[in-house]
Amino acid sequence: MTVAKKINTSEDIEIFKKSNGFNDLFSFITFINQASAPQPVSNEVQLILNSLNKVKDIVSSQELLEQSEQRFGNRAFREVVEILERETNLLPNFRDKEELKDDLPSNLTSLEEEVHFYFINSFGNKIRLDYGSGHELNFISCLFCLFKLNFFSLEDLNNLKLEPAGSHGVWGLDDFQFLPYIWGSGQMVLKPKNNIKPSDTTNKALASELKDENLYFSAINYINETKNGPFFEHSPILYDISGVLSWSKVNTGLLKMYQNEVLLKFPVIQHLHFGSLIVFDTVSNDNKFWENLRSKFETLKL
Amino acid sequence: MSDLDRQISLLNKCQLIKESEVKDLCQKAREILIEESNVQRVDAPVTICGDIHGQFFDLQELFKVGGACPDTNYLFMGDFVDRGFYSVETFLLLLALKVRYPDRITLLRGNHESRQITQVYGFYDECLRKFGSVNVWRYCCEIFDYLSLSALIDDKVFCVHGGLSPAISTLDQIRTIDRKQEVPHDGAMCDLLWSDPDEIESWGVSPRGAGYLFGGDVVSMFVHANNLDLIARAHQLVMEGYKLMFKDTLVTVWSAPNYCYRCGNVASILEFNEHLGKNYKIFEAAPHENRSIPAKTPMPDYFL
Repeated sequence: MTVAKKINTSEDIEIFKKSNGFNDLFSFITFINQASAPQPVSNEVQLILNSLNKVKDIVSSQELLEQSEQRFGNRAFREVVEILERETNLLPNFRDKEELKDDLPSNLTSLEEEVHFYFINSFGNKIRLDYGSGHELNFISCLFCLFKLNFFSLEDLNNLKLEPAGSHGVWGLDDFQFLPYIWGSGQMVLKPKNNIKPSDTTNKALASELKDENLYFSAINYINETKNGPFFEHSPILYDISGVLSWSKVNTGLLKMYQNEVLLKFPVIQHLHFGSLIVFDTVSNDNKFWENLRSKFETLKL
Repeated sequence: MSDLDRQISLLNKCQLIKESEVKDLCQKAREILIEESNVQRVDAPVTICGDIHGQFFDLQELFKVGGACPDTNYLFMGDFVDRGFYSVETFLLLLALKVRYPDRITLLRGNHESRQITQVYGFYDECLRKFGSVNVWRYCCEIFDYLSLSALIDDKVFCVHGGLSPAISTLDQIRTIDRKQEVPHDGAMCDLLWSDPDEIESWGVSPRGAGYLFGGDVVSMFVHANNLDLIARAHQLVMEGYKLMFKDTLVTVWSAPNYCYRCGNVASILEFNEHLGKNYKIFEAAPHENRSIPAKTPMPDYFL
């Protein structure tokens, strides 16, 4: 295996906080946050969507085991992950990409293994049969690796619209995901819409109406469709956030919260694996990478 | 009206009592619980209940279906807190009833009655938000350490939150455990609170990462060795509210309807009459109109 677990005690979080891996992941998330205005789907993004559709097909072709025999999660999910582990062709092939052909790293096979590792860990845990923000982070890690390997163009970042996809009981932001709330509120900041305010998140009809154009409302709508009970009870944190006055306050608040509650929370981050793409060491000067990217991105916007 | 009766009537309306009152209540509860055995004797008739997980209004529904305490004699098999919105109100109500009617309600410890688990699954966050400090969480965790591990109804029905342990073959072995501690990561006490029955032979590795899976042969041996009729336990969601296994020698009772607001399951309680005749009662989630809606308080650390 080319990637390994590095965070074994809560003290390691302090080391991680200064690492390139942390800086890269958080920068990547904020970068997408500033770029989440919908664009036409590029070839590269379409290839990722194809990969996700392949996973979708594997999931739907898997027969569910009798639910009465199960504790909570259906054990058929374990088989799904095992298929994903065997399928090494899920992700798009770098070798097929014309622009990269002359410029492929010599250790590409091992790098691909790293990317594949993050990808297959994006869908949940095959032993515990659970899914949470840690798995969501693996998907982001996978996208970041592809980005670092120049698979995506800068324009594509504008376009990383994810398909709408632990736990502190009702006291977590959401049972499964976090990033749609960050990027969805970012969308609202970049492209304000019809006076829609954070307080509108408790409006069920509106959430359903906006679900295909805004990630925040898509995630809220998913909750409305899957949960039955008063919103303030099953989603008290989102209910409280609906009292924040502006989308930009929601957006910056959620970014801070993601840093503290996901990236720097031992129970979540301990499972993240590090390799040569997501690096646990602290190497100086890496900020240049993001600075350059930001200035290029600004010119692109014009 | 005594202070305790006033607190019970507040809690019954889902209103909180003061932090200082929680401290007093826990103090009194400790004096009662410390006297209980690890295998607490309970006389039939009694009604046994499974996981509640902070679903306060569904607990009220349970009392409607099963009768009020102390009119009905109750045995709760743990997991009062975590996951739901009203873990504090739920646990404090049950604890206040325990102090008021010690012989009419028995509370066993579940795997969620633990410092470590409650910090991950919500009870800690809830106490902090509802009281502005973690003192109430701390008082409650101290009381968790005193909750009994199991109960024995009329010498015939063994009740425990999770299940059996490879380290335990007789009830006397349970009696020797020093239970007044945080739930350990392994060993007999951990297994009793964490294990699950499964259609396997002998013992298996639990996917939960604590406790074991145990098969019908293990149950059969335990039942024979201890001259039991039945093992009653909770710990696992059952869509139909209860589930019998191993030729009716083990039953899982689940008392949190529409678990986590999304599972769509019904809940049950199991009534034993004075001859240990069984009657299951099924109930659904309480209607959710007319609950008072709290003010919005975005976390100041992030959203100010």
